[in-house]
Amino acid sequence: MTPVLLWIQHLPVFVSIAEADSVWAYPTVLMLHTVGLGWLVGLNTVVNLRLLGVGKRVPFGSFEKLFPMMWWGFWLNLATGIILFCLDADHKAHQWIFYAKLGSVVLAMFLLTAERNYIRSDEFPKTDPVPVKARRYAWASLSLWWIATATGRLMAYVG
Amino acid sequence: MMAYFGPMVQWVGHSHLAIYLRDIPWVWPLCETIHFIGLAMVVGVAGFFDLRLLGFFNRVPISACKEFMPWAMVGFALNLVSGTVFLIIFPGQYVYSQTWWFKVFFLLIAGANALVFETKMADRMLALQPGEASPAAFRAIGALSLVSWFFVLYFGRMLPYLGTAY
Repeated sequence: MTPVLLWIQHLPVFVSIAEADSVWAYPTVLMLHTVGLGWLVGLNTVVNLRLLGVGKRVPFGSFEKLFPMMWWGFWLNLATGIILFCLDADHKAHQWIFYAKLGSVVLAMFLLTAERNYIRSDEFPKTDPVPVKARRYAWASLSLWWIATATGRLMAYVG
Repeated sequence: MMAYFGPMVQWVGHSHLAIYLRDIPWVWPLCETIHFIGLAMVVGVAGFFDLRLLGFFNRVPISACKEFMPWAMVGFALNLVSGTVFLIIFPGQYVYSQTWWFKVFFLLIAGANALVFETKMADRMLALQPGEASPAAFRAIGALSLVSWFFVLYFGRMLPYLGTAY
């Protein structure tokens, strides 16, 4: 695996980003990754809080516009995440915590889609109190995002 | 101007608390983790409210969207505590960094902006009918809030790369 990872890491485009002495190179990619995190996780948190009983006067239908915005955050972080990985592929691919992060992000995104479909479905009553199932979605989503954020941040320190 | 803080930086950096916190290896990574979880709560919950002020989902009363805001404050509190720990551990890294003062400046802008909305626009908020276009003043508050939180995040995340290196 290592030769492939090193080949990726040594591609001229990634070498130039990694070695550029410019705030517009690596620092900006890293900063955008944080912007995407805040937007995606933060907006999903709003929906989760609503399912847990916060802001009961906000109808669930108004979240329809919010889900595509969360996906903007996701695509931004997929793009910046791929770049960040390629800059340091051989190291990151050997960090166990990187896989914990990837796994929790994938699960959280599946859950985001499941949550949206559930809120849209006829099964969902759209009035309070929300069913236990919805509260479970919310807690699972919040927990996965906390794990994803923690493991992502700790990649700088662990493994 | 920053040199003015020299004695304070010395005092805080050499305090028993700073030495104690610096010696526990997991304190810094834990606070970084909390800082990022808090960041998402602030950006997402305040961002949701700002979108409403900008005119998104305008059939929902603004006061209803505002009910989420205590959770932005929870996120902010998490970041105030974890940020203070960073400051206690390595005060010079922040106080002598122009980038950090830019971050503080935009925090103050975001705070003052929220205060203006809170104190001057409450009546207009309650008088607004469902579906009615968001007034220009509300849209300005929402836009300024989004922009200032972006710059708080920008200068925070750029701290190691802009200006003083550490």
